[in-house]
Amino acid sequence: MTSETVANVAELQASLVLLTVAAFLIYYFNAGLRKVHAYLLLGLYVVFIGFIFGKAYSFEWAIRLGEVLASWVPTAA
Amino acid sequence: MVILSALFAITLAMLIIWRSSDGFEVASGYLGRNLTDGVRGATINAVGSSIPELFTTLFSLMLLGEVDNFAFGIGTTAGSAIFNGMIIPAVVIIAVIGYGIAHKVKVSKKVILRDGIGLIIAELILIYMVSGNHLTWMHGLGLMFTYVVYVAYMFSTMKTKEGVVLTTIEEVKEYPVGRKPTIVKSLLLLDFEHVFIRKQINTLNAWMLLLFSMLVIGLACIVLIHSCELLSGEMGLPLILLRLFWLQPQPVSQTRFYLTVMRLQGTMTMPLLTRLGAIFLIFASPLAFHCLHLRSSMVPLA
Repeated sequence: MTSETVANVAELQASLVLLTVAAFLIYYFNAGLRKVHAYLLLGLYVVFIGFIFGKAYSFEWAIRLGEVLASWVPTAA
Repeated sequence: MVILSALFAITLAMLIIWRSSDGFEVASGYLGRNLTDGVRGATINAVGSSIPELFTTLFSLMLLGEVDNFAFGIGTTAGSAIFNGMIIPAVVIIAVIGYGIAHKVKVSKKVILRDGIGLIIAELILIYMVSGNHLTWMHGLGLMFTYVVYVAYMFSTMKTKEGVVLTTIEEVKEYPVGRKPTIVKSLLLLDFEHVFIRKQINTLNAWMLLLFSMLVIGLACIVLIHSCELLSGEMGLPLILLRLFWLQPQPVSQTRFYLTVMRLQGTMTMPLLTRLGAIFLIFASPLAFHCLHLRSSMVPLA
């Protein structure tokens, strides 16, 4: 893989774990899912899509966020 | 013009996959009718919902013919998992409450804990596996074995009632009775359920419906891959990012009220483990050397 693809994969993996944990917490810590929880889930997805668009069009903030996310994922020496 | 054509082809492929997934869902629902919703969701329904992504990833590797396109599979899987975990439950909750069907959706904490933790563990295992320099078929086998352990655990703890409970509704009818359209009309409308099930569903026609739906989904995936590649080239976007945006067509019944979150958690664990497990297993196996032009049994990742 190219270094860019490796970085994209690492960012995606970190995003996936983060969003899964966030969704898990929303589902688990409530007495019943209501509209507010639905909007929270939609909001998280919008943030994720915003990040992907930001990365695709090389926005500075998205690149920095991507670097942070990628740094959480272990890579081979 | 090229971009418009690609977008049209992608939309058409997604429509075909969506309609075919309905047939797959009906067949798998019948074949797994003796399982509880939670277990059926994480096994048979999970297979049904991940068939398009599995085919897309597999065919992308075979048709596009580059090891780098493995990223296509990661993009497909991650995009699908995030969409399944966020958008589908959110839309279901809004619909259920908006239409006054229920005041809130109660979810079994036991199921959420089991499937949620299972999913997070699956993601961590995947990260660990992909973090190395190489992928072999053993990695694929490892992921699939993890899924077998997960399913075995679910079957061992299966009870008759578990999962999502809505506060005010009883149950939604699965198969509405009415006048059936002709076979030709059903085919044109991609309504495969009514092509194969004319009188009553049974094991034979359920299997035929299942296999035919899979075939159509596979063909539509080939169109999807070529269109995505075309669009990626025209727009100058990496294929992995582009793949995240396409909606993952899901069997319609997944959005029915009584399935929601519990089943979705299960349908996310399965694709992560088995889809990528199958990809590693097939792509890095000795059988794949020839068609993928690999020099060794290792798939270089970096």
